[in-house]
Amino acid sequence: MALTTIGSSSDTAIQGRVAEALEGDTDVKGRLFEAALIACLLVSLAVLALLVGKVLGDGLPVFADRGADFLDGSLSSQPDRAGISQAIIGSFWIATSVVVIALPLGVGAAIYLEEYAPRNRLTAFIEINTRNLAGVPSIVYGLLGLAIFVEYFDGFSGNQGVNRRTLAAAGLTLAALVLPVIIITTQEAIRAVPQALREGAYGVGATRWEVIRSQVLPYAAPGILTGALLSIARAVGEAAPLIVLGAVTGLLGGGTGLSASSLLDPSSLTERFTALPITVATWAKRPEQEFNVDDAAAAIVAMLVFVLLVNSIAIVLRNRFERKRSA
Amino acid sequence: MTEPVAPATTAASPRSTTATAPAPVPRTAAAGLSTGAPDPSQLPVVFEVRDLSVYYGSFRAVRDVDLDVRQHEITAFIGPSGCGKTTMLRCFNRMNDLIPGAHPEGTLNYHGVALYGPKVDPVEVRRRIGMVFQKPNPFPKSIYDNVAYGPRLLGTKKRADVDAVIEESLTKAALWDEVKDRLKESAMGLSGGQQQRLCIARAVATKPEVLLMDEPCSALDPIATARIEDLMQEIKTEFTIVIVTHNMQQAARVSDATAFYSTDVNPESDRRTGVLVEFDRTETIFSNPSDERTENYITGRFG
Amino acid sequence: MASDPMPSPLRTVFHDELDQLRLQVEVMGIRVDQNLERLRRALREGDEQLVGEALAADDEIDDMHLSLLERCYGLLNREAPVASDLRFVLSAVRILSEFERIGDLALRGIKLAPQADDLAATGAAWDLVLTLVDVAVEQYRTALRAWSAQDLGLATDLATNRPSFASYHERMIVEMRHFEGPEAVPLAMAVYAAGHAADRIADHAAIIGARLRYLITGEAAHLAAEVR
Repeated sequence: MALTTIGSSSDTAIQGRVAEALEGDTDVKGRLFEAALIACLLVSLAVLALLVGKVLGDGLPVFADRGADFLDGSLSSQPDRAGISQAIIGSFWIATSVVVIALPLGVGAAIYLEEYAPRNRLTAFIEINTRNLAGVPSIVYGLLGLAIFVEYFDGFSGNQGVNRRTLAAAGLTLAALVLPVIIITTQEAIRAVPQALREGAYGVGATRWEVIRSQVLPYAAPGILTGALLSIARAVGEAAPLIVLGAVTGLLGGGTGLSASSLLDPSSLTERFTALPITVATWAKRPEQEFNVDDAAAAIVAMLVFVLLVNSIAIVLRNRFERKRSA
Repeated sequence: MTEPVAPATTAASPRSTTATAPAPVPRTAAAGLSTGAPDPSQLPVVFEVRDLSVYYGSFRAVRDVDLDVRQHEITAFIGPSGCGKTTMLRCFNRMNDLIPGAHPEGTLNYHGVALYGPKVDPVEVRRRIGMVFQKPNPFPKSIYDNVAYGPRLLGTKKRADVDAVIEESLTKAALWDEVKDRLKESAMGLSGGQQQRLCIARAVATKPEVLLMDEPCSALDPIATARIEDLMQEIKTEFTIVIVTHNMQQAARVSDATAFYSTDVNPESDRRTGVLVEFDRTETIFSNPSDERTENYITGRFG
Repeated sequence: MASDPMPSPLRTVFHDELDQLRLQVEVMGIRVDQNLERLRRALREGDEQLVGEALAADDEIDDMHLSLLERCYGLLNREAPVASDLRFVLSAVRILSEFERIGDLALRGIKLAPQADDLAATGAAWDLVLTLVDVAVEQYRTALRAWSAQDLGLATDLATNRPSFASYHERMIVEMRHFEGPEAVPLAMAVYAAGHAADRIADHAAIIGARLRYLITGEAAHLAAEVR
């Protein structure tokens, strides 16, 4: 709807010039830029779509054929009998160790660094090194875990030799791997809490701990959770350290299928183990197509489902906390 | 010491300062104007400040502060930006402790006790000396939980007790009628003026003796501002209030005593230090200040 | 930012307006002074033309009073002055009123011009009146100078050294007893009226002095002079 203009005819000249000036030129550079950005987005989406498409295309038929058996089965040399129950159990306990060990330690350390530690050279030194640790290649953590958890602590089992390469050692190693990341993301989340909130709580006579517990942590919760859950997803997806830590790639005895009791049986911790990423890597190298294409893809699908699950929980929890934050 | 002053006949509205009531004009210059309000020199001193400087590390932010904050009065701190009035205010409830390196030197007593003494717990200080900030900062919780935060920290647990404190505090903050039916709603849904009154309710819920207000109305519209100014006059009888304000008319309207701070350039470091220029009754500061700098500031003659 | 030796002046428009006001009040004061001069001449020469001139000037003075009052109220409204600025505007309002009263009193005196010859014939009494008028006009001119220069010394002089008219009055009444003839009473009344007008003019000048003292020093005690 054009603006109606009021005025005598002598104003029309002015009006004309103003109208022309306000029209402006087409922003060619701006349009090109926008087009380039859209292209980037499309390419990224295309790559993702391709990956997911291929995996689903190859993996879903396996589930369609023998879904329950696949989930229930153990490692095998036969592609049509191989299953991922042991891999799931291994990955489950790895995820659990991150939650139980890395999360409390990491969040605790981050709270100390952000709220309690004085701003001096030592604190800065610690923070720099934490960031460095986050960038260390994961295989190095594998070697670390081998040297300490397997060799020195005997894998927390009473076993000898190779049997010291237990799930517990793997879990602790991967917990150590994501610990720096959790510290950093938690620190960032705490840093993002507005100072006005802290001042409001201090102003009413809260102690430092009360301020942290009742204001800072709830406000930072979405950020902390996001970081934590991304860390779990990463830990579950790491293959390199597991190679070093002795994840079983051939046959793993004692497979009792996948059930609530087998999943939650803590005795798995002191035994040899396998995990999803290692299984995928192993199968992908087998000559048989049923292994390197079908079964590998199916295992990848299982991993994707797991990651999706974890992320969904993250989003739900984050939304709940964010709703509490605003009106 | 002073001559007996003729009492005003109208009700003791704290704002009436000139002898508008039909009282005989005092015959001596020393007697000044009669107000009907209690003689301020008889009111107990809540904060005694002598020769106070506040440092951030080695930088002296404010110096030479000498003043008394008296009970049940509103004391205003005015002055240009960077003159140290907020720094000074935050010393009264030890909020400056949150800034590393901030420390005052000199005398700062609360009812005769050194506020920065070694045995003094800042948390206990802040329970007795509450604060309202420039930008309203309600917690991202419900209105109820905002006001209940302080009392719950102090140990009030029973639902009935907490309810009573909530109602009392929100009433004092002139907010009860507006929110009594939606206490469980989030505080973030209130308007700016309401949020600030909520912060006032939150501050008074712990029944402090003193209320420190750091430019409480600067983010609010004129109506919200007027509401809060009225509120301050009402609760003055229960609290002692110190307010930092950029708005000189507000200081003149609302306060009983005014401290004017200005800045001084330190020739060595070329940085500005705040300094207390004049501290006196508000009527004097705004009608006939002693220091030329005060006069220049309040008339706007010099920046 | 380097150290500034002197903070920069602000609100220059407002403070220029205050200065303008001072000048305008002075202009009105000068008009009143002109009428007082006419008064002196009228009482001595009896020139009736002066009456017409004085009436016209008085109308002008009234108009100026009104417009300057409006300007004062406008300043109070718009600028919310405080401290010395507020005292200045309020004092201007008061002093405008004093000038106007002085103008009225001058007019009252000038209206006696037609009777000047007869009054002069009364002798000593009338000489006293003329002296009274001169003293009062001198007081007024001091007040005008004090306002123009905002001079505390002159103002204090005015407020404290109020020439005592009491002795003049006594001598005048003594002289008036000697009036004879059928016009004795009206002449006595005229003489008294003129002397009284002079007395009142001097009073108003003293009030202006006191007001200026309040304006400059800010001490409320100086307001006592206005509250009788």
